[in-house]
Amino acid sequence: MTTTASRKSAIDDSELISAAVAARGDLSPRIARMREQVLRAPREISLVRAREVTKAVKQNPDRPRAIQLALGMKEALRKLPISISDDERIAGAHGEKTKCAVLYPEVKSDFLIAELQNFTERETLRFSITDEEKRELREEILLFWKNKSAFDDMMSRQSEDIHFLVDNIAIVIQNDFNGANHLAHIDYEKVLQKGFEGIIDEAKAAMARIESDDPEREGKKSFYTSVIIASEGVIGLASRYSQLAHASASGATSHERAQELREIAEICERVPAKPARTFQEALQAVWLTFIGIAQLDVGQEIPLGRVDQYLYPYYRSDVEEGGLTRSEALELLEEFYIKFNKVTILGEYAVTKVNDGNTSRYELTLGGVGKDGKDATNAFSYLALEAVNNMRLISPNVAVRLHPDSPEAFVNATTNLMTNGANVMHVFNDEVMVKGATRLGWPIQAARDYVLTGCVEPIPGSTYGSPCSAFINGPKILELFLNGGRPMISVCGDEQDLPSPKCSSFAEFYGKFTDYLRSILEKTMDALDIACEIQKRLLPNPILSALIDGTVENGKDIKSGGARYNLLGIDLLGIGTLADSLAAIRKIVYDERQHNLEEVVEWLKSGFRGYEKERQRLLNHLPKYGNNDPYVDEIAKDIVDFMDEVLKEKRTYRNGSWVLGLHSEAHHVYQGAIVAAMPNGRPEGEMLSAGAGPTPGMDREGPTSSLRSMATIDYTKVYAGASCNMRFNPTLFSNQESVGQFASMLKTYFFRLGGQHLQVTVADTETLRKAQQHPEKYEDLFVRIAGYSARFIDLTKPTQEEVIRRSEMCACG
Amino acid sequence: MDVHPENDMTGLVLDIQRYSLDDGPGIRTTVFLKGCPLSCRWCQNPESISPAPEIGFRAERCIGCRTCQKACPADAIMFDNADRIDRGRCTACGACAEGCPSRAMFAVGKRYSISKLLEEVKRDAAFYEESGGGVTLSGGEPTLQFDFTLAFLKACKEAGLNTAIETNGLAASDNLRKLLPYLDRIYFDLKIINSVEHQRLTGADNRQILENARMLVECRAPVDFRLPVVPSMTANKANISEIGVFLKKVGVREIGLCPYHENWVTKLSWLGRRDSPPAELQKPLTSEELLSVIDMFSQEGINARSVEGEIAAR
Ligand code: SF4
Ligand code: SF4
Repeated sequence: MTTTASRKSAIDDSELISAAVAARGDLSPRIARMREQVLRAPREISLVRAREVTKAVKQNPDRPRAIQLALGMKEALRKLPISISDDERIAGAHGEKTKCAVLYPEVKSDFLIAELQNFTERETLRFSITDEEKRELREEILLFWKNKSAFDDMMSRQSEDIHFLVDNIAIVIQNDFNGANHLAHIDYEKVLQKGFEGIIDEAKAAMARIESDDPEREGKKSFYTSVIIASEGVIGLASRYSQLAHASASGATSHERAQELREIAEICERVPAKPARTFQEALQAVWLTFIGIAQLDVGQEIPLGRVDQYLYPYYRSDVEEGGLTRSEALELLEEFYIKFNKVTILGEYAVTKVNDGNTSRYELTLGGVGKDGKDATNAFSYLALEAVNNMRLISPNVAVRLHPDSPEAFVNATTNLMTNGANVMHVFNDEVMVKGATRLGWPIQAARDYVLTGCVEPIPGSTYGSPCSAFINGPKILELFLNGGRPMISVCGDEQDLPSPKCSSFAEFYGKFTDYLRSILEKTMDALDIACEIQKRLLPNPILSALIDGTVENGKDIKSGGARYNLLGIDLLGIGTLADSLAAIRKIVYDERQHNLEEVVEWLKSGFRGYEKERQRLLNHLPKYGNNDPYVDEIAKDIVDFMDEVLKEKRTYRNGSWVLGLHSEAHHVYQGAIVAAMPNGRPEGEMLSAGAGPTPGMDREGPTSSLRSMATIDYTKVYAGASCNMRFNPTLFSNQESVGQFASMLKTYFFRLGGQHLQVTVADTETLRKAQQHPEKYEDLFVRIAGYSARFIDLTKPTQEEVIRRSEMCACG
Repeated sequence: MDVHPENDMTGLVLDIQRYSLDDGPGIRTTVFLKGCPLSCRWCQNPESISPAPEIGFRAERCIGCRTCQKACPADAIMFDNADRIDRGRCTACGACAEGCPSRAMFAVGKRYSISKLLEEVKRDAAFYEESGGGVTLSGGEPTLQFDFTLAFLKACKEAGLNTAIETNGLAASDNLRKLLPYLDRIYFDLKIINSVEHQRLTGADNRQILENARMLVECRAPVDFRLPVVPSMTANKANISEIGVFLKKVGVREIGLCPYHENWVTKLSWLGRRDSPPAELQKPLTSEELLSVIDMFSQEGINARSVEGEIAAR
């Protein structure tokens, strides 16, 4: 969920600016200025990183890829034009422009080549780029990578079956090549406690210990060398900022500013090379580390981890002994948050659409239990929430972990923020997450130390992902299955030969369908093995490897399986649509025998043209997931159980666990566009159900029934994350009591029913307007009216207008 | 608990509303029973008034397949009729609603046995437990199906559920007393004190209602009074001051306000009714009107607050 589609759609630039207006009024002037600046800045491209990495690869053809990339990164950080603005107290930017994207042509170059001309003109997420930059990019960078990027290599090695499935969008291979790159449990604490000098020393010592007869000697040596070079790169950048701050101090506009610049100079001289001592040093160290990481990955989703755990000691000691006030700390934290909004990603257009307006997600995790199993919420957790409320920006994305003993005040602060219209955060159930990881074999401490990595994907301690490495389009698989392996619409690629799905009982039908699903899953796992092999060979990541537990000990890059633990996630898309469709087939073909399967297939192939009566009946008279009807809920549960069993049979290329996810970002919209009509009455091309949720509009019995349906699924088996996004109108949160009722609903869903994730979209005016135009898609939109929650679409026009007027008021509150 | 089959009578249920927020503490499920002895001009649930099942028709959902016509045993479906259903012939048998693929035809009122209804409301038990919520019986007027109401409340109590009722107060006092042991909260509508006006606008005399109100306070029942705030009809200076006087006389200082919404006007056409309500009932109550009612109450020394939450200044 997405951290989800509807949430993300609220972050178009114009909306950001209006959000700016809506934010709290008492921001300090410097914060208000910086916030405003990042909101209004156009998206630009920084070529430095792509240029230097390309050069390093060209100039060192014989050196291992890890060294080439580390050298390129170090050089980029040495050459990047730098500046410190008058308002900044934390220095650093990942590119030379206010809001920019760096490019990673070695990962995937085809779309850059194809879309270069369009960056400035496309419908959404435009980027400015000068003609000279275009020329350089085309002639000096992309020409070199043409057909040579890791993605090209990966696809050229895939089987015909995989090409067929990918071309028909029955599956999507991401695995850090495209789109989401949910990473790892990054050890920021290591940077704060040892500094990059400590990391270099550690690598050197490990290198010295390699046995002379170690068969992996060469590989280990170049791994440690790459870690050292990458670490030096980050230290080098910090010292450039230190020098710049020092030099700027003399020309500062005021005495105070001169003093601040001297402080920045001192801080950057120290961190992240050496351990941090103060809160400001800690923030500076994390930020520069982030910039380093952003140079060597697709950079889209770099998790910030449990900031309230690793920053708290610095905050506390500064407040207790260092004379730091809470409001000073808040201001620094707000500046820290703003910085992440300067980092953007230039994505492939198709992928951009999937991300629906939000291309980069840097997620921080708050609350939850500590490694000892006790509540770890602290004063900094509250400070971090307050800063979120003040900033209301798209980054960082905020994940809150809750457990039955979370402090009442923290739950309240969280639910207040979830319901106040900011739509900026989501919550996770520790009980389910911790059980999910231990069930897969993670030790309890690592399981308790999980972080969220971009959307809804957890990563336990000492673990490398990616939890979002492929999507399987459930409804498309059903379409193929019902049609002998051939797509019913937009046929591309070869036909597969599947036996006829005709069966004498639903059990037999379901058995054949899951056999087919198994074969798709197995093919996807094979495809990801190939992808991981390419990742290992062409895309090692020395800077990230330096920060993930296990790599130094193993002498291996994360891409070679160096992390202590590994996992790869595969998402099932459209479980609601799929379960409803299977339930419909079960009911009308096998239970009630009103129609035979051929008839149903005929309706679907025709896109229900000429069969509106049948379609209406399917839509309105059959069980639907989201209404707590076991007839269909059990099917959703069974599919999850089945996929979990299949995934458990194998290990990943890096000897990690395969895990199942149920989240969709905006894939359910974009992939739905090429899925034929479905037996649940969904017309051809319509969006699929999102995340773990019901088909939009089909949960007719209100939020509690919808949650009970979703809770049928065993989420300890969905460790790659299951998104549950609910849409509410602000009128449902009109007073403190109703926010309290929402908190009760959340706690019930989590701690009594076993839910994993919850996010609330407080439906804005735009949504309400759309609901007026397409009431059939908004049957689940509840508003508060006449003493109870009513469906928005059932209201008369004037009342709808009234609600819209009211929601506009409340949304800014 | 198991409901004994012999006691498993049925009641006519209009609707079951989950995640109700304003019908008592916590997360609640509100069960609307069909049938009401009053017929208030402003009634926001006109489909709840008749104690018999009815058929509704939403023209905008109809795809014209005529399944309903084929299904109707009474030949009551008229495609050239503006209302589609010849209400004189229709026996409300429900066959059309069952057959209608798009739910354009729908049954208004469905029979539930005590055990089935209990099962329905118990599905949200986890939410009630966490939030301190439960079940609220509303209507129509739930006491009109008195035996069913009593049996259902008993069953809820035996199942350990928190219970509340919303009543217009027009019931035999003895009946209300019999319900008391099974109720945690009573929301009692006070509409109009002047008996002539009450008769004119609700179609019934209010003596019994006021007597019940006094009786409940006297026997210390957990009663909360509520006023449907209807422009001019109930929300006028004279009525509010009379309500204030009445409340003070019985020793109550608080009242909940239920703002009027005109949403129901569309529902008339679903039921085939061609009448249209007076202009003042065709628009929602404004915040200003609501605030002025609160103000009038406070002049009477009565603390009034909207049951829908804080009122946004507009
Ligand atoms: S309810 Fe029965 S009698 Fe009335 S219109 Fe429908 S089918 Fe005919
Ligand atoms: S069955 Fe329903 S959709 Fe068909 S004509 Fe009758 S009312 Fe219209």
